[in-house]
Order: sequence, then C-alpha cells, then structure tokens
Amino acid sequence: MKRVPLLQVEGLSLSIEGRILWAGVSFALNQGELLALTGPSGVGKSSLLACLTGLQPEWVPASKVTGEIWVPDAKGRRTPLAQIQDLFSLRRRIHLVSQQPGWLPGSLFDNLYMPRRFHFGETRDQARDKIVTALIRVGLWEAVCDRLEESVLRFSGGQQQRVSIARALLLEPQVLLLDEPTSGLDEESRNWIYSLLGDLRSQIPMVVVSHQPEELEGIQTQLVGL
Amino acid sequence: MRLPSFGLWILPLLGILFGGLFISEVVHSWAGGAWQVTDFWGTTWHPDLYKWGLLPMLLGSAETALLAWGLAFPWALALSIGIAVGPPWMKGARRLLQGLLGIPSLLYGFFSVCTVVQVLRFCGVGSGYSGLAVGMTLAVLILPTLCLGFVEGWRQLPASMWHTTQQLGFTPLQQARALLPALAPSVQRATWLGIGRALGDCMVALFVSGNIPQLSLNPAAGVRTLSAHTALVAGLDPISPGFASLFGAAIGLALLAWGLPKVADYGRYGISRIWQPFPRIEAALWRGLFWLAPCGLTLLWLTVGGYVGAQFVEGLRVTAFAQWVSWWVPFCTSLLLALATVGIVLPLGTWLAVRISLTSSWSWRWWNETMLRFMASIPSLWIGIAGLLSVIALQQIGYTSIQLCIGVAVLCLSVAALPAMVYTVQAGLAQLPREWQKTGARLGYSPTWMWWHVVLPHLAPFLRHGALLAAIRALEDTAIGLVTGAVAFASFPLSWHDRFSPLSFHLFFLADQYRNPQERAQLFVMGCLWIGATWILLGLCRSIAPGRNLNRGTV
Repeated sequence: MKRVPLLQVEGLSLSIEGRILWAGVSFALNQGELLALTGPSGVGKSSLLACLTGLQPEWVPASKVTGEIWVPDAKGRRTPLAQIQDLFSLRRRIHLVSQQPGWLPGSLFDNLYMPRRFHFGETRDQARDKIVTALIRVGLWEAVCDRLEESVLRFSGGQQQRVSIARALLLEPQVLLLDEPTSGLDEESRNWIYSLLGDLRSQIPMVVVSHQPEELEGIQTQLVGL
Repeated sequence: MRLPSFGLWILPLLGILFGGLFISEVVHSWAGGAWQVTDFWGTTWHPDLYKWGLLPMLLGSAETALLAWGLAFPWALALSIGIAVGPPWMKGARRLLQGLLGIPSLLYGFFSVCTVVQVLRFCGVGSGYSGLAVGMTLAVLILPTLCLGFVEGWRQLPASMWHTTQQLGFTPLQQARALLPALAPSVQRATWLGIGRALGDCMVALFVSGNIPQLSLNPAAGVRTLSAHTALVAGLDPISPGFASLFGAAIGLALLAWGLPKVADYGRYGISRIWQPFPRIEAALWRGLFWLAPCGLTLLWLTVGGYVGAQFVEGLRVTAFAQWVSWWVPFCTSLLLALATVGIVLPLGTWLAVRISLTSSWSWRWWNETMLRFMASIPSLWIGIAGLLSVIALQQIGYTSIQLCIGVAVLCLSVAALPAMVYTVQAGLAQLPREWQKTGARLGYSPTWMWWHVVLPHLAPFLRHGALLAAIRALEDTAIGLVTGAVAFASFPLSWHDRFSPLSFHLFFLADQYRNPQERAQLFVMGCLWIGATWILLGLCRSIAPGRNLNRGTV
C-alpha cells in the first residue's frame, strides 16, 4: 500500500519584494523520517520552515509564496495548507523550533506550562507530570529539578536548546521543524542534541535545517539542498 | 551617558519647596493657637466648632479612587489587548480613547450630573449623588490614561516574544495572556498615574459626590473627597478655621498617593491568582471581556458624544458670530500654554527619568519615586497656590517686579504635568535591556551615539505619549490658571509677564451658570473647542514624532 506523506511540498517558490529566494522545492516527509535541509547562509532555509506553518506571510508581509504545501488537518486528513482554517492548531501539530529559542515572561516552569494550558486546558498540577517527563526525555531533569522557578535565561545555551525541544514535545506535535538546533553549541552539546533527535525520529518525523549535514549522517533519511 | 547627578535633586527640591511653603503656613496659623494637629483626624466636620475631622474625606477619596481603578482596570486592559492583537477595526479604539482624553473633567462632571446621577436615582440609589457616581465617572476619566499606557507597553514588547507565541500556536487572546507578565512595568506606571488622576480630580467629585462629609462604607451614600474639599475651602478666608484644614488634607492625600497604588498592585496580583486553578473559566472571562470592552467604549462614546453633540448644536444656535470670534483668543492662549508646558516638561521629564533609572542608590530612587507619586496625586489647585505663595514670597524679599503672569502658570502646569512625563519615559526605559550602556561600550559605541541611535528611537513613542499627556493636562487644568493670573478679557499674551485668558477660565465661569440653558449650551460649544485644541495637538504630536514600532512593525 502506498504510504501517504505527513507533510508534502510541491514546486514551492518564495520571493520577497520581487526577489526570488528559491523556486521549485519539492519533498515529502513520512512517519519515522528525518529530512535534513541545507544551503548557504541567507538562502532562505528558515523562511522555508516558516512557510510550512503559514508564518512567513505574517512575519514578512512582503513575501510571496507559490506552490503547494500539504499538511494533516485536525482529523489527520491530508489537506492543502491554504485550506486550513485553524492555523493556531496547525502550529501545534507542525511545530517550529527557532534557531534562537524565544522565551515567554516567567520561569522555566511557566514556559513549559503555557503550551499545556492553552492547547490542552490543563492546570499547573495536571501539567506537572508531563513537564517532568519531557524534561527527563531531553536529559535535563537532573540539572533543573530544583530550578524550575528560575528564569530560562539563567541556563546555558545548550540547556536552553533542550528546554525548547522539551517545550515542543509538550505540544505533542505530529511534525517537528528544527531550525539549526545546534547553532552556537559546543561539540558535546551538539552530539547530545543529535542523539536526542535520533531517538525522537521514530515517533515524530522532523525537518532539520543544518549547515553541516554530515553531522546528521546516520539519523537523516533525506537531504534537500536549497 | 554621564548625566549630571544633580538631576536627582530636582524632585526632592521641589518637595522641599512645596512642603516648606505649606509647613510655614501651617506653623504660622498653628502658632496662633487656633488648632492642634490632632484636630484633623476626627470624624466630625464642623470648623465653626473647631472640629475638622478629615477621616470621612480621606475614606471618601480612597473609596472613589479605588472604585474608579477597579472599574476602569479590566476595561482598559481588555481594550489595550484588542488594540494590540485584535482585528484591525479594534485599532480605531485608540483614536476614540485619545478623543476621550481630550474631554475636560468639568464636562465629565456635567455629563455625570445629567446621566449617571439620574440613572442611579432611577435605580433607587438614593439621590444618585454618591461615591458610586464619582467612582463610575472617574473610571471613564482615567480609562484613557490607563489604556493608552498599556498600549504603549504592548507596542514595545520584544519581537522575539511575539514570534514565540505565534510559533507555539497561541490565539491572539492567548498571546496576550502569555505575555501579560512582561507588561508589568507599564501596568504599574499607568496605575500610579490613573490613581493619581482619580485622587487629584476636583471637578467630578465637586459635581456628583454630594459633598457630604460622613463616615460610611456604603458606596451609595454621599461622600466628600479631599480634592473636592480642597476646592471648597480654598475660597474661604485664609485665616478662617475651615481654610486651615487645607493642610491636613494635604497630608491625607500624600498618604493616599503613597498607599493606594500598593493596594491596587496587591489587588491585581490577587485577581490574577484567583483564576489560576480554573484555566477554562479564566479563558471564557477573557474572551467575554475582550469583546465587551470595545462595545462598552462605543456605547460610551455614543452617549457622551450624543449628549455633547446635542448641546453643541444648541450652543451653535444661541451663540452669536461675534462671540465665536472673541473665543479665538482664549483658544490660542490655551494652545500656547499647552505647547509651552510640553516645551519644558519633555526635556526635563526625559532627563529626570533617565537619571533616576541610571542611579544605583535605592535611597535616591525611593525619594524620587515617592515625590513623583505625591506630585501625581496632589490637586493642581495646590500647585497653583504654591506658585502664588512663591510669587508673594519673592515680592516680600524685594523682587517686586515679579507678578502673577503666564510664565508662573506655565511653570506650575509643568510641575503638574511632570509626573506623567517621567512615568511614561520610565515605562519605556524599563523595557530596554538593563546593560544597554555596557553593551554599547563593549561594541565600541560612545554613550552619546547609543543615546541618539538606540535609546531615543526606542523611547520615541513613549515621549510622544508623555508629551500628549502633558499637553492635555495643561489644556484641561482650570485651577492653576485661576490662582496664577488668568483674567477674563486679556489679549493674546506676547511675553512671559503678560496676563492671560485661557479657555478653561471661561469654561469655569460658564459652568457657574449651568442652570441657565443658554449658558450651558455655550459651555458645551467651548468644551468642543477644547476637544478640538486637543486633537490639533494630537495631530502635531503625530507629525513631529510619527509612531514607529521598532519591534513589531505594526500595532
């Protein structure tokens, strides 16, 4: 039986104020896959990820996106992105993790609790166990168990990146889009993140932007160059 | 940037000057043996029998200011969220609020007598003249101050925060709820200003409180506030027992100005914690408020605008053309007063705010913050009286050429408008990274370069908002003009030592004749001219410092 891809892009092009950044990009992402997206700086890799969640026109109103993007709707049916009414829920299902993690005001716990509260209507007590589980999954629980009420900005770059992945996991996404998740990290942290992505790949398919695709060898299943 | 440290002395010095003037008056009359300090803290107001109980008025001021804040705060917050993240048509609410900001409190008082008091009477709330009527009217009066302060706070949140909430798939309302804690500095500053405005306003309280000095916690009962009391006794003979209570009232208002914002802060935290275990109920309340707030504002505008408009048409009918022409002098004088006040307050307030934020000494910061809070709440009549006493004192020590004139009025108006400017700039500075100076130095930029290219562009919308508040305070103020040399038929002032004739002065005397329908209609024509002057200033503000949001591009 032919597998239906979770996320599919066909002939996608992006231009900003008449300048074409890329054109004719096509790929499909299936369950259990990790797609590495590579290309020189400034080519528009992050913009491609923003296009997949419908954020690009909001962030850069002058941008023009053509082509087809197929995403799963709330009931899991394959639907063109343009026909998705509830983009807020889509951004939970196909979640983008930025290169520089952005933080909400409040503590580490608040940052992890907000997505549970707004998408699943949970109270702090109801969300606590899931937050602990997510932190254990990203290997951070030991380091932060007694620092949950501290600001995230007090943690190191590698720890912040892991917190942002934990926050993404708490959204229970169907697809994860990671924009250079190891940017600015030391080798040990990079290796740790790559092994984490390798573990997660079987449950959540991923698109990962990277300048060094060779580092993803062994866990990537596709490579797309821009 | 190295700003001279004597900036920190300005506010405490103003405090010493004001305090010194009042204390010398107090000691002078106290030494005569007419009263004891303890006489002021009873519950009975009967100055002829030497009973000056100010406690009922203290309670009246606290009750009405907190009631106004409690009613206006959720409304202002919901409106500010609508303006920041709501659909494009909600952005129009900002213009409506700026329009409300320009309506003088005298007109609010009138409007309240004709509508709020009647509705309360109809609903069986006694005669309608009550603390509740004052609170409701003051809520409308402080709504623009609160809401526009919040809106500036939303505008200046970092783009990364907005992007994060979008990435997490939050709806606009959820975005606002998630980012609300980051708005705390703006909420706090706007609350201080709003409560200060509610405490210090004389006109609304004079018109609708009933002016009954009685000790009651029932909001349906008549009250007298300290500010209304000040206006009532200021006209008495300066050596009379009633006039002496002015100084007790000053101490009472200072205490309230210092304490009430704290109470409001605790109230805000308390309200936010009540709903924490019930996220779905809280979300439903937010949604309800989000949609109801602009409807309430529109309804308010239709009622206020309809009433004022009907009176305006009547006023046009009964006003002769020659009278219209004669009003152009007061109109231009009021504009001149506002522009001159902004000219002083804008650089001075910005400098003070930056200087206070840069100091590491908590004692200096405490002194300055306390003085600001006090100055934000003292009725402008007192500032006018301080100006008057200063001129008299200068004349007594030999400077006989110094007279009451437009220069004294502008200085007093600047003192009255200074807290709004400083608070607004402080809210902007609070959103800059604390280490902006060090970062600039590390990158090799001079402090001056950082100031002109980083700090000032960031502060531009705050400066514009602060200048607008200062201009409106100057336009609206009646009491300072009354005691610093306004006269009925002065020509347009061409130098600082000329007498002057502002719109507020004419409005005040027309208000005295409000039972006459013709005079009342003319009052509203003049009120509309006043609002027109505000809108001209708004336009000037926009063209001089166009709104530029550095973080989001569009709000």
